[in-house]
Amino acid sequence: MRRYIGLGILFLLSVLLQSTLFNYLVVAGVKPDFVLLLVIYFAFTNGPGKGALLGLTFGLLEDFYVGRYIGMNALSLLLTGFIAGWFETKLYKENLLIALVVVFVASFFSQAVFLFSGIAAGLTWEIGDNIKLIWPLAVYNMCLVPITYPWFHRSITKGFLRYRPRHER
Amino acid sequence: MAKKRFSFSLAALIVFFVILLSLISIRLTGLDAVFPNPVGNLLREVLAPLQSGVTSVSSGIRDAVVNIRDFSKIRQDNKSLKTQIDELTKENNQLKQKILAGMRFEELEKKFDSPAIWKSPYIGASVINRNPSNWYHTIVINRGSKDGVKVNNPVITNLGLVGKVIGVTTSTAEVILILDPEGQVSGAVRQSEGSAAYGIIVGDYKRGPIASAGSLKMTVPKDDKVNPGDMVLTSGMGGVYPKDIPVGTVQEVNLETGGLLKTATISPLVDFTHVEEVFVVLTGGK
Repeated sequence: MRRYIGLGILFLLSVLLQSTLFNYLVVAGVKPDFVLLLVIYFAFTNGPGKGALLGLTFGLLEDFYVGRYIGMNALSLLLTGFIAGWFETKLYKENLLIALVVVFVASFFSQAVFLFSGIAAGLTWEIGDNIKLIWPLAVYNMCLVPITYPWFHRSITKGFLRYRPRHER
Repeated sequence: MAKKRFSFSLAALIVFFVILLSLISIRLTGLDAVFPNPVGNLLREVLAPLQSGVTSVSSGIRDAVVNIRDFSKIRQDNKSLKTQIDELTKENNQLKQKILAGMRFEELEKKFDSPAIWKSPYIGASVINRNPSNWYHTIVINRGSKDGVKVNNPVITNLGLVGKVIGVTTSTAEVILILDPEGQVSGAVRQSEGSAAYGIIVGDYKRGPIASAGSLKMTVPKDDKVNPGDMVLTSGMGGVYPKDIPVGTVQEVNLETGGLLKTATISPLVDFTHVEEVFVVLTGGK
């Protein structure tokens, strides 16, 4: 239970920062996406099932918060959580370099899903224009990994985001 | 690892329906769609006060950073803006002066009624200097011989007589005011029975390092009926000043000690200390 409250607080904090402070940190037209980072980290340490579930939850909440095109973030974060969780089964989690690659691939993937879900739903988005926004976000999120991943990893293995088995509670 | 328990076809089915549902949902909740959104409203209400706080703090920090970063640019801007202000102030002052001059000229156009003057050619002129010499109470105007100004041309304003030209250069002329004792005027006061009382109008301006404003005196025979309030005009005698230019009004009348004459003190109509635009009447002269 404690970890879900922690995740909820982290989610609120991410949305808060994204809608305020990060507007001053725009580089190449994009600002960092902490919700996406959270989902990737969580999935990368908890596997595809939980990753997809958290992606769906956070995505839906984000969609409700934005208040339109409900399902776009949900779908993209669901699939991203699943993909990042799939990496969990294959890759070594303690390595920062691997985390960098995973974040880059997953971020790129999530933005691509986001873009194509929008187009598939009939929005008049130009692929060429929006593809330019995908690369910078993936790179930007990747740059945030050295700052945020060690902290998250420590928290999820030892700190308050740690999964505690039933007998420990 | 819940997914591992599903068969591949079931997983594919789930993925398909998830995508389908998402697309339908996206489609139905577009920009102009209206739908109940309690979760979003709750989120927004929770986050709104925090957002405003974080925004004001972060914008304050950003402003400070930007200020430091742009300091040299701001200083440069400040410098160039100050220069610009100076230029604009100068321009503004020039324009104001032009407008004020225009207003004064307009005022000047409301002339007194004297056919003898206004049928003669005349030109407007600006006063560009006062009392260039210590010896005469004079002004300098910006019209000269190239404008047709000659010595002894009368100089007037819309109110009345100012003086006459005593020196001309190509583009300027010196005008002696009637306040100066040298600029005597033959004056006339219309008496109550209609005939004119003639006298010489003499300024009592005293020469000296400190200029006094001075007033005008006119000496008339004792029997002439000159009363305070009477209008004093030029008589037209003497050849310099045309007839019927207003000079001033009689303020007080005093008997001379000899008993044969009396002196009328005249307050001039023209404000000589503030006169800035005049007319030069191009008549007579030499």
